[in-house]
Amino acid sequence: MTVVPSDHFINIEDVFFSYPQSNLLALDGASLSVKRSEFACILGPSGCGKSTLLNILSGLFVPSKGRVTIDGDVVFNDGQMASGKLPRIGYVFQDDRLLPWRSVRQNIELALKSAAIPKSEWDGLVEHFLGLCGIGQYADTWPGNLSGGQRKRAAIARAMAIDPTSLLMDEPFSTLDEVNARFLRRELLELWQKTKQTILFVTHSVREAVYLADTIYIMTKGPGKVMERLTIDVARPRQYEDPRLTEIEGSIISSVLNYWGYYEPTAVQG
Amino acid sequence: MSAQNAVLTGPRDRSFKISGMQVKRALLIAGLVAVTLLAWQLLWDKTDWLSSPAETWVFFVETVCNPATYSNLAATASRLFIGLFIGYIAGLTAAFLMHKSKWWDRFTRPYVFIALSTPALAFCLISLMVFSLSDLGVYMAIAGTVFPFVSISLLAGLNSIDAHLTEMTEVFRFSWFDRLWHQAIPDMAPHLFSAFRNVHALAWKVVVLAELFSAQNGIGYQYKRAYAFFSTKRLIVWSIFFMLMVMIVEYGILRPLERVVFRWRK
Amino acid sequence: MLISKKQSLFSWVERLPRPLAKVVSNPFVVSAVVGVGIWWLLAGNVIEFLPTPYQVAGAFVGAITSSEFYIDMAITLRRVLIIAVGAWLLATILGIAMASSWPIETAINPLVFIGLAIPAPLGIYFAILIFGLGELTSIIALFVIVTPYVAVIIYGGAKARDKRLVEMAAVFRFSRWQQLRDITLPELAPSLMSGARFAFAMGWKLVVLVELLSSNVGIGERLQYFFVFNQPARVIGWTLTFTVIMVFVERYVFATLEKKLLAWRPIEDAGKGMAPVA
Repeated sequence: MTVVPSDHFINIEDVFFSYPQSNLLALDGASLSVKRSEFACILGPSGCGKSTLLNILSGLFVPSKGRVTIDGDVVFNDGQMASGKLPRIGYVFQDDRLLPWRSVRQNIELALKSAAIPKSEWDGLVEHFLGLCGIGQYADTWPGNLSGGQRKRAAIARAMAIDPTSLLMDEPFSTLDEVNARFLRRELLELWQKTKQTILFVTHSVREAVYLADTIYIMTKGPGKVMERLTIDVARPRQYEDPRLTEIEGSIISSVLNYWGYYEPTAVQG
Repeated sequence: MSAQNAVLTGPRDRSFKISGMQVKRALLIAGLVAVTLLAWQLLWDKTDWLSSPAETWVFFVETVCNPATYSNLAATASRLFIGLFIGYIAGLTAAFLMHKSKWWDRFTRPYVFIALSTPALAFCLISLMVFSLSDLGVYMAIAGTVFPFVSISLLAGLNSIDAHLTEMTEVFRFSWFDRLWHQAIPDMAPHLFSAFRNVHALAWKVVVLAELFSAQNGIGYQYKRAYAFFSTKRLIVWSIFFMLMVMIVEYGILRPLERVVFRWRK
Repeated sequence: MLISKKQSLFSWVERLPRPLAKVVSNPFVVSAVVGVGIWWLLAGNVIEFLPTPYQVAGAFVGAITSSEFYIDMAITLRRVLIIAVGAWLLATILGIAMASSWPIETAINPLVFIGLAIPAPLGIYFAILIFGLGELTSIIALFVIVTPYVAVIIYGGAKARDKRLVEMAAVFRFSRWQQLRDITLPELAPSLMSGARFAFAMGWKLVVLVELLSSNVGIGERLQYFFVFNQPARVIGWTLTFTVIMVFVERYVFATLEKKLLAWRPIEDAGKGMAPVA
C-alpha cells in the first residue's frame, strides 16, 4: 500500500520490522515519502512504531523487508543494508543524550569529527549553530549545569551542525514544560526556515504536529502502518492558537479515534 | 572577604571554616593518641616483649635513613604492580567475555567463581610451589587472587553503560576510539575507581603474604625477620611503611585523578 | 546493530543427535573440558612443577578418605565458627554504636581504618608475640583482624537508614519495641546478612593462615607441611576440600537464610555485598 509517489527525498516503501526476541511486528508494511526541505511529522500513539521508523532511517535497525532510499541512494533493500556509506543523519532524541562529562562544545565537536568535517571548520560551525539556537554563551559549560531547555537547544545544535541529509527528531519537546516547549517549537521553525534542512519529526501530540508540519503522516496503533497523509495548507508563520489549526486538529482527532482505540496486535507469520 | 568573592571562589573557601564539631573531633582523637602512647609506655615497663615508644621512634628514624629500606619497598611495589597488571588483563578479558553473550557468560563464570572462593593463602602456596619460589610465583599469586574481583567490578561497569548514549554514538557514527574514550570509559569511571581501590588494597596484602614464604627482600620478608627476632618495634615500623605506601597511592594518585575525571559533576 | 548472524562455526553441533548436541553445546561442559585440557597440557611440560588434574584428583580422594582429614577439619571448623559468630556479634555492636554516636564514631574510625589497612600476618605475629603460641592467640588475633571489616559493613547499613521511616513511626506513635522489630531490624537485615557472610568467608581463610603461621593443628598446619615438603598436588587437593565446604555453606546455608529474611527485597538487589578478602 503505497500512499504517495516514490520520487521524493526520503522514501520508505513497505517496510517490515520486528525486534529480536519478540514475535510481534513493530512495523507492518509502513510507507511514506518526504520532499526535500520539507517539515514532515509522523503522528501516532505511543508504541505505534514511530521511533522504530526513525531508528531504521538512522541505520540503527535493519528492516526485514522493504526498501528505504534517501536522496536517491538505496539504504536498505529487503533486509540488506547498502554497502558503502550510510547517509549522514542528524538526530534529536527524546532525552538530550549529551555526554555529561564533555562540554557543550566538545559534544558538538565529537559529532563533527565523526561526520568527517574538517577540523578547520569546527569553530565556525559550533559558534554559528550555538548562536542560532541561542546558547552561544554556554559553549564551554558542562551539560549538567544547563537547564532542560538549554540542553535541548544544545542537542538540536549538534544535530544541525553536522550538515545532515535529513534531521530526525523523536518527540524532542515531550520532556519540557508546555511554555518552554512552545517557545522551542517556534524557534525550531525559524531555524528550519534558515537552514532548509529536511526534517522528520515524530510526535504523539496532534496540536504539535499540526502547528509544525507541512505534511503529517498518521500511523495506526500497534504494528506500524501509515494510515493517512495530510497536507497542512496554513501559511507560515503560524500562530499556535490559530482557529484554522484548531479545526484541523479537531478533524484529525475525530478521525483517529476510530483506529487509535484498542488494537489487537498480530503475530509474525511463519 | 565580600559575599561576591565568596560566590566566585566557590566551595574551596569552606574548608577554611572550622566547625565546632571538627574541633571536638580533633580534640577527641588527640586525647586518644595520648592515652594510647601512655598505655604503651606503661605496658613497656611491665612486660619484656614490647619495645618502648622511644626505641620504636629511634628505629623508625634509622630505617628512614637506611637506603636498603627503599630497595625493600621498591621490590614489594614492583611485585605488586606486575601482579596487578597480569590480574587486570585476566579480569578484563573475563569481564568482556561475560558481557559478550549468555553463552560466554556461563563459559567464564565457573573460573571466576573458583578463583573467588580460593583463599589468597592457597594461591600463594600453590603458585610459589609451582613456580619454585620465584618472583613469577608472587606475580601469579597476586594475579589469581585479584582477577575475580576485577572481572566482577568491570562487568558491573559494563552493564551500567548507558544504552541511550551508546545509541547516540551509533547514530552520530562515532569511531570506536571515540566511543571508548568519550563514552564507555567515562561512563564506567565510578566502577573503575571503586574496583581499583578494592583490588589494590587486596593486592598489597597478598604481596606481603607471598613474600612471607618466598622472598629475600620486601615488606613481607621484613615481617618474617621481625618475628624471628621477636622484635615488636620492627613489626610496627614496617607496618608504618606499609600504610604509607598504600596512602601514597590513595592520596598521590587516586584522589587527584578522581578530581580530574569527575570535575564535570556538580 | 540488531542483525543476528548465524554461527557457522558451530553448525556441526546441530547435526548431532539432540541429547548429545545439548551436552556438547552446554557452555559449562565446554568450559570444563577446555579448562582441564589446558591444565593437562601445561602440567609437567610447560610448567614443570604443576601437578596434573589426575594427581590432584588423587590427592583430593586421598584427603577425604583419610581419618586425619576429619579430625583436622573438625578442629578448623570449630575455630571458624567461634570467630565468625564472635566477630559478627562484636561488629554489630560496634557498627550500630558508631552509627548512633559521634564520639564513638570518631574514636573507633581510626582504629577501623588501621585494622582495614594492615595485612593479616602482622596481626597474627603480634598476637603470637604477646600471647605466645596457642588456641587463645589464634582466636584473639582473628577477632582483631575480622571485626573491622564486618563493622564497616554494618556501620554502612546503620548509617544509611531511611529517616523518613523513623518519621513515619513517630507520626503513627509506634512503640519502642515495634520500632526495633518492624523498622530497625528489617532495615539492618541486609547488612547484618552480608556482614555474617563476610565474617564466615574471611574467618575461613584466616583460620587456615593462623594455623599455618603458628603451626597449630588443623588444616592450615597440614597445608604448611605439604608446602615445606613440596607436594603441590596435595596442597591443591586439601584446599579443594575446604573450598567445597565453603561453597556449600555459602550456597545453601546463607542463600536459604537470605531468601527467608530478605524475601521482601526486589530481585536485583539480592546477592550484593561481596567484597575482597585476603
